[in-house]
Amino acid sequence: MEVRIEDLVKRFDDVIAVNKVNATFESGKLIALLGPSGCGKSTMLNMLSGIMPVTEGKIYFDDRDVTMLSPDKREVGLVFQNYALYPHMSVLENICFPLKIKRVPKAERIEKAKEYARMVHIDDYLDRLPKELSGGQQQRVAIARALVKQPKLLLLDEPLSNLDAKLRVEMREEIRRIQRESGVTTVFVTHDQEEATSISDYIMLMKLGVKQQFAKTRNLYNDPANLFVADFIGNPTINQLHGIYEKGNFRPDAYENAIPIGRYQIEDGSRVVFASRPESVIVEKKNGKTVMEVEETYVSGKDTLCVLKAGDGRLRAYVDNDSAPQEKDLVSVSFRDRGVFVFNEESGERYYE
Amino acid sequence: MKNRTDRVKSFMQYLTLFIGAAIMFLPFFWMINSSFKTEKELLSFQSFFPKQLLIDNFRQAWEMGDFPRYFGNSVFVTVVCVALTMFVTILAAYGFSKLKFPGRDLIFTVLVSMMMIPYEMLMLTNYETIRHMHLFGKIWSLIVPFTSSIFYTYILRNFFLSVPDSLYQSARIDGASDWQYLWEIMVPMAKPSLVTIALLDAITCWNSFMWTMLMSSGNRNIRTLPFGLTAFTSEAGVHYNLWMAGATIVVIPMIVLFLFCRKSIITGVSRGGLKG
Amino acid sequence: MNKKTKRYNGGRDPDEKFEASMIGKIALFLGPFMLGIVIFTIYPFINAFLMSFKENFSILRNTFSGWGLANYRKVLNDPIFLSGLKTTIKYVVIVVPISLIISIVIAVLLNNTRRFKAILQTAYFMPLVTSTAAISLVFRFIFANEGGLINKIITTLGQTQINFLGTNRWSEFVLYIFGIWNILPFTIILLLAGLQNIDPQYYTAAKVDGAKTLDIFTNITVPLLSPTIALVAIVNSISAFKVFDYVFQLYNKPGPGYNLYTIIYYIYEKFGGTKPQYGYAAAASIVLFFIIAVFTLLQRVLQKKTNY
Repeated sequence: MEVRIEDLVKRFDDVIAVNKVNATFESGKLIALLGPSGCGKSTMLNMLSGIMPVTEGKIYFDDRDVTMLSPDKREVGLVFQNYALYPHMSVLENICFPLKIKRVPKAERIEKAKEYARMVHIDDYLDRLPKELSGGQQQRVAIARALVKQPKLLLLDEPLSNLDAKLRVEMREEIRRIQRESGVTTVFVTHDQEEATSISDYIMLMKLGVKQQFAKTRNLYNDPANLFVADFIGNPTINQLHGIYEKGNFRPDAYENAIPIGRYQIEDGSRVVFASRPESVIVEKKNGKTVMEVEETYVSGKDTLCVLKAGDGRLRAYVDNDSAPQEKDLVSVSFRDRGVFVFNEESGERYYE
Repeated sequence: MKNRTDRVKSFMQYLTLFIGAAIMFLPFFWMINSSFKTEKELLSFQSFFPKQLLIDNFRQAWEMGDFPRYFGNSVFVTVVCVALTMFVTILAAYGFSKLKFPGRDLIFTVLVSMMMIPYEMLMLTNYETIRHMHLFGKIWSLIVPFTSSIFYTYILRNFFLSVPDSLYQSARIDGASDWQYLWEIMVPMAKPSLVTIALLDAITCWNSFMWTMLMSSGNRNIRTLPFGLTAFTSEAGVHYNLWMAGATIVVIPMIVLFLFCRKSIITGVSRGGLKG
Repeated sequence: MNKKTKRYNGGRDPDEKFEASMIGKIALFLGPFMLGIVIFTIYPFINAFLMSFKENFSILRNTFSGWGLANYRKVLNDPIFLSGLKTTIKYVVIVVPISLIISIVIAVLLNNTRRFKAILQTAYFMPLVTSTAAISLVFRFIFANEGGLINKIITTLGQTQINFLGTNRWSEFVLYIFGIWNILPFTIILLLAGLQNIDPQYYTAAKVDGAKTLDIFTNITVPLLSPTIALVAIVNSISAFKVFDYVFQLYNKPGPGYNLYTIIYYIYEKFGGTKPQYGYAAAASIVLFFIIAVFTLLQRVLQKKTNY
């Protein structure tokens, strides 16, 4: 099912939690609502589920306006951050509950519950109580319970935040698998960009209630709409140097030499932020242009991360282990075309070539 | 590694406790012990224990004192009162914890502060109200005034408040209504609290004395056991063997209840003591 | 209506629907409870206040001569009420401290036991569930002149028997014993709960410092338990102020020589007796209410302070 939101607004007294958000979630995709805490992502999810009334705007499921529909009529499944399993019911009873409410005959609902328990790999624990399960297992039960009534839309609120690091990686792959297998349109909320980028098809990045960018996951990295997006996505964080743009050159505040960056549609003398992904920084033997000193090096796998001193500023660059410079070496720096962006310093808006 | 003084200390400790326990238990023991003795045996102190276990006293008291009726009344009043109270309390506790409406907590605070009103102060008017409702002298007069308990609602509300809201939202998304959520999720979860409340209420109902005395002044057929027993003693005259048999009849059901639910009753009482 | 306001209203609608269904829900969930509370608690509470100010009130004809303090003047100058107040206060002052001291000792000892816990608990806590109407008969029997266990022991020891139930002095004594016996279980349970909240670390620390058992009791246990002790003292005082059942059940009247006449007895007689005087009864009940309110507020303050 396709989900379309139009000018969605949520106001709490004076605070605007979600501000005029528009988006269309393609059917059968896994969509991440990403952003720092307080960005309105959970509020969005709660409005999609119907738990929270909408202040302004519309929500459509396919062509049906569901803005005013109560949660039980929306055919959504919701997995809570704390899973919200009913503590007095066994795993099987928990999964059966939505069907029981729908008055599905007992034999049929048990059959179905077992089918979904198998799908989430929890079928060995059907008689256990939630408190006898690990966090990951509880998570699986919660997902099965959300899926058993065959919702048109599955919503997951910070699904991995209560799990330890190892389980988190395992469960996010599981969520991916289960989503593929069931084919249900899925929206999940997270504050962890790595989590979002590793499994989702699309990401909507939000900040203070405003949509920053909604795009295919890869595009968010390769083609950020503004400085906030460029900064939020990617680990290590994108390099940022502040300075002035002048005739195809960037003149950093913190560094004496101008860096040639090519032509942008920017007025000469404007203040800009020059941002570059660490893998887009080319480090060569000193050859006269844009010389910097290597401050520190860290070996990680096949690459070495070099921290370069650009006056008061710092640049991080990935270099092949074989050609990695030593600390204190002087090197020449240039940039690839990909992964290099220029933003308006004040508004964070991106300039294009 | 216990040394001598420790052993002496521990012996003294248990000695004190057992002597105290014996004193506390003495009335029960003496009651049951005496209920099997003949009147002659009882007054003459010929032997400490009854010569034979006479059930004659029980038979006589049972027949003389209208005890079958009192017993039936007690069971009826206790069962109905507990059932109604539980129902009303569950609904109210839910309303005061999970429904969101302005002034909710203020209203509840006022209600809680009304727990300090002594019942004796309300009795005059309630007596008249019962008369106006044409319930005076009817068995329902022993039940109707006591189905709304602020204290039990307070206990249960505290439990309900501790249940995270996500469970409610989850159930709503699963398609449950408020009503279904309450009975399918909240009530089963609250079982320990509910058991405690039911036990405390059953004890109170079974032992209720003063109100029963007032209400049954118009109709002896609605007497329950405690006041029935008091009335029996003044009607039957001083026959301690029969008194003890009657007292045993009144006390035994609650003792059985206590032996089975000791833990719940004790936790219930300790929670109740600090209620305010 | 322009597009913007229309959309705005559309956005508000779910809230309004919410409101409408909320009234139904409130009625459903709180209706039965509030009905009972309004009829049998709030209305009689207000009515008792009003009644206490109605002069020459007659319930049969529902007439009164005017508003005023006549009932209070009468009650507070009534020697019977004042002696009832005195008797009640004496009961409180004797029963509450004695039961408290016994309870502290028993609770501390019980708290340290590992063995026989079930049997000891059963013996100490059984009075909680038993009808005082029934047990009062047992007390009457135990203290009886003829066939009474206590008098049998006394005469066996060569002393003259005591008329426990027939004399003013001794009937009071029996009432106190009965009151203490009844209140002990409740008091012990609360103190046990308080004891369990004391961090065992303190005991260990004191032992390391070389403290003896008695030192620990007076320097650690009692001070740390004092909030609970204070609370229990107040709760017990409130219930002791309402003493009536015990007197009635032991003697069927306010003691053998009208010597155990309590406040509630006064209320009871003024409203249930042969010549009912509702105004006096109401005024007396309000005096009782204020005594209890003071104690309750004291308890609230303590509870806040001690975080219970």
